[in-house]
Amino acid sequence: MNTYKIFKFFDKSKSKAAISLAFFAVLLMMPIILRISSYRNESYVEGVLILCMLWAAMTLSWNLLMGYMGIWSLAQQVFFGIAAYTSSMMNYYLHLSPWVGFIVGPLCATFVGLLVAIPVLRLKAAPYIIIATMCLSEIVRLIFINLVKWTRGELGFWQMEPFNSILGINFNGADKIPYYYLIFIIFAAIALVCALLAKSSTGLAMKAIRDSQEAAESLGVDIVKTKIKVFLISSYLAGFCGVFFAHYIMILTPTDVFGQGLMTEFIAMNVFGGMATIRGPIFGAFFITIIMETLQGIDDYKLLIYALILIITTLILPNGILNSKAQFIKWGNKVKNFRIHKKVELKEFSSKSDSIKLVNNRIIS
Amino acid sequence: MAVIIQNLINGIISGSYYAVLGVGLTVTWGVLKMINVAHGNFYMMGAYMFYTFSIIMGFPVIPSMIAGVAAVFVLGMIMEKFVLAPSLGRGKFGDTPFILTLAMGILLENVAQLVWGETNVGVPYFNDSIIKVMGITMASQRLIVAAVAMVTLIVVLVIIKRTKFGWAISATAQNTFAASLMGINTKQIYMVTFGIATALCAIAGSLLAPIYGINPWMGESIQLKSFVVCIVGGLGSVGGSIVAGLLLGIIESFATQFLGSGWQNVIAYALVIVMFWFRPAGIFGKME
Repeated sequence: MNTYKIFKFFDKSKSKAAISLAFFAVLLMMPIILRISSYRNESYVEGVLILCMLWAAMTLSWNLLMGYMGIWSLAQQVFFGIAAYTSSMMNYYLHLSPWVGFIVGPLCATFVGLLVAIPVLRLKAAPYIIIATMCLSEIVRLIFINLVKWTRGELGFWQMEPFNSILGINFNGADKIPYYYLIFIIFAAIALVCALLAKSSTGLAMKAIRDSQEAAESLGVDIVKTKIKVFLISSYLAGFCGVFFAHYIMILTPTDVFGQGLMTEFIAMNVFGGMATIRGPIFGAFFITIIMETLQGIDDYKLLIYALILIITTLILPNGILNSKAQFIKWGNKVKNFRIHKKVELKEFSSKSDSIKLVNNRIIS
Repeated sequence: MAVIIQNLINGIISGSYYAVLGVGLTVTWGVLKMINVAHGNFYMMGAYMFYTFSIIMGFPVIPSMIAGVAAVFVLGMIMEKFVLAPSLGRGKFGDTPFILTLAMGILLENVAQLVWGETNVGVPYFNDSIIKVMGITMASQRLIVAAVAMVTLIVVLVIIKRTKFGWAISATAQNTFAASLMGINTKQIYMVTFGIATALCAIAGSLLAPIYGINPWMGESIQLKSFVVCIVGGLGSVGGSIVAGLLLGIIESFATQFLGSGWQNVIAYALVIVMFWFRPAGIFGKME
């Protein structure tokens, strides 16, 4: 009964809007709260939240492709990395401001997105797409490793500058609050774009393609156009995260930025929270980033625990934590039935013992 | 001329173990209908098992290789039984098993880091001698690798084509439901097939351990290479994988000679894209 009530509360669109509004309001107020409460590890908490929002934004952009459209493209980190490298190399070689990177970086990512989309468009089965995109991202990684002259290869590219001051806001790295609000704006904008896109007619077309390409085609959905459109939007959004990452972390290595490790994290976050929703990737990204941060003390076992969490959630909640209403209701019913069962048993037991007492009394008397 | 023949032979030798790895992956795909991204990590486990039995416990080469392969075979079956089996058939194309193998890969890599440490370890060559014939130099270690790989491939082919168990595997691959109607225990077939695939990885791992050294991350590039072999040969086609493996080995060997070792993997992965463009079902796969 309780589970039903809880889910009824979460099903109402008003309470949904209230929860998301509260979530963003808390995020917005967080630095102020920390400053007022004079918490000692202020910049540490802000750093963790910055990473949370960055990965949430990235996972949201990937969710458009994988969750809503069912295209298992494992090349999302390539768009991220291309934008990051573009912006930082422009900054170093052409001495352009990192803010210009926010214009050029995502555009470059979009171009690469188009290049990735063309071979993927020809493939329909998911395993083929997975293998093709894995190979594409590996090719990009190897190219960036081999062009040591420009990218410094595995040594890491670190000559970029941080964001220069704009509107009197100083991004010198001593204070994390400017970065916090910058990524907050990017994150909120990406969440908004994803939510609007999911509700639009394109969003419906995307879902139709995910459920059945043939059926969608027969109903007049232009598959090629929709796929390319979503690829371009997704890579454009990922580009923003990349530019921010480059000028925030200030070091890029091909394996960190283009490697499969990053993609695995996005998969874990998306699967964990629930695909094809806006709330799922956000929840997953925050949960996994914070868990990993708290497990920092036992560094050796960190990935072990990560893998176990992923295995267990995938086995018992295949749709992710926020998408498994039916599963939770089933469990709730099981618990309820178990309780009723127990009560009945207890009653029987007590009545039996009563009768035994009666018999005993009779014998005694 | 000698250079070309040398490269050809080198290519066939490295291609033979690509073929072994590719056959393992393609059998998993054909029977379990999922792609296994932990394949490279089982290869790594095979190498470490061999290291454990031969160096730490001090067994001779052949018994420790057999013990290592058997250990990985059992490990693969346990993994399938407890992690993959409950989720097979879920989702549209096996996306849940895909995520599970991804997690399994991380798990195995981390276990290897915890148990054997984050350093390179080595195993001595089985045989140090070098053979020279008509200006072509060959380390006998590599010849042993190629010979064992060829024998393994022939054994696998014979098992699949000629034995009752192999027919059961083919039947399950074609139609699980019909196979179960014919009295085949398909769940058991799934388990044993996954075990065989991991055992093939372990054979390749223990053969290559003396040449390339052992570390927890050695599976990563091998993983994608076995995908390349699978795609070029056609997903699910055992014979195609063998030919594709040899082909990949030869192409890589020439690419290393003429372009430098940095670009050899780029060529290998670009092969997949080209293949997808012109013939998505692979050389020997049937068009669906």
